[in-house]
Amino acid sequence: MKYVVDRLVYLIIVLLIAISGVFVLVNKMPGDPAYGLAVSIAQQRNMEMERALEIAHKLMGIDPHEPLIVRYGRFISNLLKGNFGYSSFYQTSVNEIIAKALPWTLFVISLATLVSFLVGIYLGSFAAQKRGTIIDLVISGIASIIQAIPPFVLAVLILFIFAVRLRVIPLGGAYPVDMEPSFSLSFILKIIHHALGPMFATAIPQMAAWALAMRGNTSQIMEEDYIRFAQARGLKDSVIANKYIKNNAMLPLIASLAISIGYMLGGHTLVESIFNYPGIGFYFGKAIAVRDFGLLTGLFSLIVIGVIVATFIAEIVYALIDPRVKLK
Amino acid sequence: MSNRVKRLIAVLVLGIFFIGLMGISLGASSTSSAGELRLATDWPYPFHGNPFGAGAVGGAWWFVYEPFAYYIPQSDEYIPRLAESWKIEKGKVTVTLRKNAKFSDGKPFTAKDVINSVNFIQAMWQWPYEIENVTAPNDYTVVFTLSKDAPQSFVHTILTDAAIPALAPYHVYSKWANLAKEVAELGKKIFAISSSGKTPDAQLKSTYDKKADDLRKQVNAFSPFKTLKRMPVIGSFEPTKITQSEMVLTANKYHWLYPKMKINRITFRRWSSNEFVWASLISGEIYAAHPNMPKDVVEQLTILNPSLKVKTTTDLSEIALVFNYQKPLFKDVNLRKAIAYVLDKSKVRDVAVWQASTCSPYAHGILKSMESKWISKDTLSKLTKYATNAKMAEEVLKKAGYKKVGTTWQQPNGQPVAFTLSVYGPHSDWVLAAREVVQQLNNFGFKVEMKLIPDGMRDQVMKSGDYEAAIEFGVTWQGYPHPYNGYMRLYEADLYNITKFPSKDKYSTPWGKFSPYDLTEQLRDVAQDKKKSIDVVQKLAYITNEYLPIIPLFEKVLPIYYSDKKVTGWPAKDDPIWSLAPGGIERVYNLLITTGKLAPKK
Repeated sequence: MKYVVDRLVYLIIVLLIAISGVFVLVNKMPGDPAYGLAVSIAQQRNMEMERALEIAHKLMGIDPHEPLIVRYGRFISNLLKGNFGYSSFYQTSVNEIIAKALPWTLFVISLATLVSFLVGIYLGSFAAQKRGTIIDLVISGIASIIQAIPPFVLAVLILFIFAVRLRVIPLGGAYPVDMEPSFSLSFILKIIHHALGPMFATAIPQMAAWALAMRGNTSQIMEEDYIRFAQARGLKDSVIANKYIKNNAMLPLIASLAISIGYMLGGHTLVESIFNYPGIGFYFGKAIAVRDFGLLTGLFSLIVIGVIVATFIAEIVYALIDPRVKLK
Repeated sequence: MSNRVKRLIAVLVLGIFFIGLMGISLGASSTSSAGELRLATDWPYPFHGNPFGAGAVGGAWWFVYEPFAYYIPQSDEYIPRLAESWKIEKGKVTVTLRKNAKFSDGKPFTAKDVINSVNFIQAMWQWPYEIENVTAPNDYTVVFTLSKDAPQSFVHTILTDAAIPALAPYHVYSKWANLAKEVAELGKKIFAISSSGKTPDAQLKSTYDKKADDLRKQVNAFSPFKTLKRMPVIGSFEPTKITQSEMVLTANKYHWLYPKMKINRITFRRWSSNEFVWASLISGEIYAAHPNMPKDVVEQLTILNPSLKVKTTTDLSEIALVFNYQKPLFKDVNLRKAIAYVLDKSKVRDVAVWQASTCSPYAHGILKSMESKWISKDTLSKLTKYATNAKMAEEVLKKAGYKKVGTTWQQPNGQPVAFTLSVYGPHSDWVLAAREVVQQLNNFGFKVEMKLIPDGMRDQVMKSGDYEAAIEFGVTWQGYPHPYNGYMRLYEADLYNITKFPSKDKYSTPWGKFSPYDLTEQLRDVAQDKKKSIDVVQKLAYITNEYLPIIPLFEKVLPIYYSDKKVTGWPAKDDPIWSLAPGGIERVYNLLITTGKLAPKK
């Protein structure tokens, strides 16, 4: 219980620091959120930039002279009420935007996490068991290369190979435009089919990372005394691998799972734009492009809160499943 | 790992593989319907269908709204759209409206809609105050009375801006019509007082602010798409289905050109990234788009999809090397001339934007693509040609008292010719151009360093004069394709504000001494008279070329990729219609569709 309370206090402190950091970073970004709109007004209407900027501020309801501390106070008090802020570009609450886009992103991220984790640890433990063989060399080598490829580069490759050349996955979107959303099997299949591209682009580098981590952990555990003792007792290799090695090697990875979700969310932003996939990434890109500080702060806060809370949950779960943590 | 987990992994991987395979039978690409044109653009989501709301209507703009006329820069002709005809008098434009134009909900388009639209845009956008008032002698005639300060060029805006005739149809926006009229009147009053150099009454200003904010809040919150379940439009297509990734427009069967139209549906894919658009073009998922592409991608594109053709048309703007005239170094025209001779503009173009057109050899302030239309052969013969010529540059410098010490050129005062070249970081093509310019100038013996302007800081840096030389837009004709637009930018407006070139000074020309500022004012007053305009342009071109306020590097182009696999009827590459593309390429598609030229391939 004390462990949980300690973690909870720590969580609140970290959250406050991270959220404040996000706010300051976003609001200290150079540029004026009304600049982009002002440029298009000035170009279209043959108008001087100064006047166009004044009009753009009014249109977007922005007061460029409002002190930062006042904005920060409003931001924190809104956050405490579960309000992620207001988008000056969309003229709507960030919560409304999140509610529309987050399900798509979560769907792909969940799928990517599941696939990458399961396949990654399986490959990693398999490589460790075949240490020193050609199989180990191939798995480790390929994983090392793939891990270094940024998801958006992989997304471009997948797009051009599987969507353009082989035509086995759709080019983009979440489902065909002529289809009405429903709970029919054909619609669900279409949704999964459309998610394959962004899912693999996000999952493959992560899968490689899990494989390498699992291989490292497994190799380490295989040197432990209790493994030697088990071998000395004459236990079968398959029993040792399944009962003694894999579960122990997997434990530290469960704690990393939450962090990997955050990492995937970050990389997924660009992947979504390459696959024209609806989700948080689209709004992230838009928010950066139009300098929508309200939306940007809200989305960043959501991700930061998500990752910190997920890490907290992972730590609690880890404590429950690892007796060594309980003893500490 | 337990057997159960192993089985789970196997099922999962097999499941995904199975769905992937099924994708082939499901059809990876959606099937296109006959009479469909597929394009790429951007739009606000959730879609509201309100032009005054956030993001307006995105790329659907030119399909849902019609101007009074389209103007084709290359052939210098106006094509009537919502206007049957128009009459231009001093301070007055009378437009006769098309009698068979209807909104997509069947309501007729009348003068009431024009008056309401003008009131709305003046109230919501504080523009265009050049229109003093609009009256309607009858249902199909509108008379625009212009303010005394309105330039002649504003007539072009009235005729060609799609916001003016029917942005706010009366039957859709009638609820706020009176308030919009009131706000527009107050705004014009305040603008007139401010323009005359006086301060508007505080009471008047606060009344205006209160009413304007009230109107803005109400109108911004309005979503025809939600409230009316549709968006009644005057244009040829109405948005009917919008997701975050796709936008479908359906033909307006009440449009006066509907009987001619062979395309009845437009599907837009979201322009989420250039890579997505490239992939969509290659696979034939979209039939036309205008993304910038590296040379090798273009070569691959035509191999992978032979039905794709590419046409480049001027973007009506040029990229130039501009100087800060607050810095003493650049006040010497000889140094500027030397720089113009040193630079290999074709190489700069090749490095930065390979498809762009070179501006060489002149720097007269007229876009290269429009040169023959505006500058006479006689004037051209009087102008200095700035073809790449290092020897000529050395000669000019030596004559002006500069000397080369070792590998570095020195000014007559003994200081080295050293400066920084600022460039806006996010514009990668500008950065490439800057890098090449710096290299060429350094090779010649100047000491030049490149300085990146951070994202979002361009306006601030340039306006505050915190630069020495920079890469910037030179003359641009977007919005109003006329030399006045370029010279105004150069000598009176945006570019003048950052360079502070002494445009009110008088400069010698073969026709006498003139100030480019006065000449630009003259050009403004005769803009609608081609003959008189050409006369003024000759003098301005001479001053601009000989006194080099800026050095143009290359003219931007719009590369348009289009496929005739699913639709045919694209115009020939030399057809002037392409020049309608800058500032709204959808106008080209719309004109081709509504004239029946673009049709599904049989």
